[in-house]
Amino acid sequence: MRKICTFTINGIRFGIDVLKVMSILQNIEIIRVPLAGKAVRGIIQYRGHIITVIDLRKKFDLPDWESSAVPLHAIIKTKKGVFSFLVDEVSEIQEIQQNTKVEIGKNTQEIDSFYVSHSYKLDDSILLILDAEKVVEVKSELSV
Amino acid sequence: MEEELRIFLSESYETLNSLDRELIQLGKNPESEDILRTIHANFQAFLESSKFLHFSKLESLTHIGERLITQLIQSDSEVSGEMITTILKLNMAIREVIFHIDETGKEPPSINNSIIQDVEEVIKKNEAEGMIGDINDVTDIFMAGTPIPGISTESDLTDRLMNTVVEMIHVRERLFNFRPLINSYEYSQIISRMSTLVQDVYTQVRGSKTQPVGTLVLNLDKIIKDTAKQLGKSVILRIIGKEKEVDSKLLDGIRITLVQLLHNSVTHGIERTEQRIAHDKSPDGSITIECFQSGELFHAIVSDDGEGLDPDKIRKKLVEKSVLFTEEASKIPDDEVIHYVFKDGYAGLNESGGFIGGRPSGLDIAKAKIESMGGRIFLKNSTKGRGVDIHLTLPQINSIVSVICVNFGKERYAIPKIYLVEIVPMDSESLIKGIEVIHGNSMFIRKGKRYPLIYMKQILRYEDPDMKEIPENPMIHIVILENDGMQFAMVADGVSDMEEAVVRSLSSQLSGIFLFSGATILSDEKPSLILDIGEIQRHYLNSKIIKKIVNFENIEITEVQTEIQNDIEPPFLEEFLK
Repeated sequence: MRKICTFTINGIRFGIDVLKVMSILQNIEIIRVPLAGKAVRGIIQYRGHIITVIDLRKKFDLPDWESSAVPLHAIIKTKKGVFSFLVDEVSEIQEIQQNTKVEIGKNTQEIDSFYVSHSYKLDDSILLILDAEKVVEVKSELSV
Repeated sequence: MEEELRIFLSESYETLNSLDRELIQLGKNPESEDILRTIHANFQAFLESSKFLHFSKLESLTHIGERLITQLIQSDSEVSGEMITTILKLNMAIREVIFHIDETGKEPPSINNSIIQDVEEVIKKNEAEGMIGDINDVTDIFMAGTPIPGISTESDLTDRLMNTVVEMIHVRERLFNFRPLINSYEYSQIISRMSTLVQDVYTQVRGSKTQPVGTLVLNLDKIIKDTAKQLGKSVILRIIGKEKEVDSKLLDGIRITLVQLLHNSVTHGIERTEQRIAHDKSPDGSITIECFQSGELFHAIVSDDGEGLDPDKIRKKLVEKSVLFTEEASKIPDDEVIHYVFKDGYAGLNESGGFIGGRPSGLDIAKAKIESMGGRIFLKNSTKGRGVDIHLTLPQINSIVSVICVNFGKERYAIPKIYLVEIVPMDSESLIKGIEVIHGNSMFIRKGKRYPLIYMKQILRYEDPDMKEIPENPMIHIVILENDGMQFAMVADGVSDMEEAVVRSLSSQLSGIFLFSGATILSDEKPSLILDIGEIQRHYLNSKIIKKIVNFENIEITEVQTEIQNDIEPPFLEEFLK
């Protein structure tokens, strides 16, 4: 059994393993970073660290935030360090049985399945598990 | 037996080559399970045949390798660079045994057992980490208060201590802000005392996380001498600033970069002894590495006194690779075309791994390595026949620097004090009177001196929807800065007091942006980007024309035309003042 922290972006439900979620924050001043990629909203300060804020709507090519929206920062641990993922809202922690795992591909019309590690079938819906590593991947990186 | 051995050897060489290829692939795709499975199959093949032929030493080497790979496949997480290095070492040990069998028909009487022990330890360590395998790397950025379950190595401890001390420094800076409000001698005393203590802890923790550059250059000398000897050359390596301390985590990257640069100098820069004598140079070539620190950056300059870059060869290459048309290339002056060696997009131009403009792709490796660490590398100087100077800079993470904060519109950026010459407050009307546009370049004139003006709002793509709210004739500040002997000016909307700030790194998404060398958290607890003044100066003010204007030299019209074709952004005054 796994515990998954679930949240929504543009009505789509996503999940990330609770072990990777460090905190959920609101109303933090974001400092813009000129010349950054489109999905990078800026940087914030979190417990003395500089953290890059990834706008998941931009990353997944979803419609932009309404101007009145107050997105939440989900603070996520990855192998590349700690990031903030901007999401619409955070809902409950979901406990998942391994046997409810279903094939990905057919259930991810809304976003590029590249960012989804797998998905779970819940009673009335499908939960997409985000691959945080893929979200923070820098595509043009030169491996030396 | 003879026949069997022959088959075994030919198969072994094939397997070894396959292993090499797969390991390179694994380095590129560390998450690929397929590659791991192929490597696993290779080890198994070795294991089978060594059992069959009773090669016990080969058997123990391949057996441990097979165990490690099995573990990696099961762990389901990305394979770290460290792990790949371990497998590579194992691969080398196997190769040595095979060579010995090839030569003598027997296994070597003894093998280096340390590699087996090393792998054994890695396997044990992986087992101990078990569940936390995939959050392993987080420990270095993660902080006191969020302990990571499982093992706590020494470096975890110092990393956490460092993070706590950095937070203490932030608190200290905030306390300082209160000093004028609480008018008490005793309070001042306590704050000063506390400040000294925090500084003390910081110095000690930092000391344990850094190492003198000298530690890595020890074996550089040997590498250079060996390479030089093979090529019939003689080289003397000098290192200045061995005692300068760098973050231990950067050391490895610096070493890789320096090896590439040195190798490059020895192979392509330094001439053969007889050639040097014929050109009236000293018989021994000389390479110097100069290390120093300034502000937020660690610097190393690698200079050789070899042939230098040949501008014509670079032009030819640029045309061959369709980067430029012949006509375009010929218009770029010699002292500008050489900088193409480090230009973005230049890397990878050369598929064969051979030469780029007379230089090999070792420079590309150096550039990629330095940039992956948030640093910069550039050609400082090169004169044909006189040698090459290559300059690299790296942000000194966790070091404390004095910064001033400047405002461009509503945004605020930190500038290390070391670059600051003077701040001149004035109203924008006098600014317009004080600006002269010469050949499309804006110059701020003050006391008979010309300072090239950098329009930061434009460079930072600053857009302010509420621009109208700002009063029409506000006070502004001219911030005069200096880098590499050149003084220049920025127009700022506001400037704040100096403060001590801790340099923090940017994530890999942002570390490639040339405008910034890092970020910091200021005493109001808000983050701020640190402007990379050196890089900004090189990027926007490196043209010959600007240098001539500053020195009141005459400029030919043709020079201006070339410059414009070279696409050096002319700043637009009107846009700025709109």
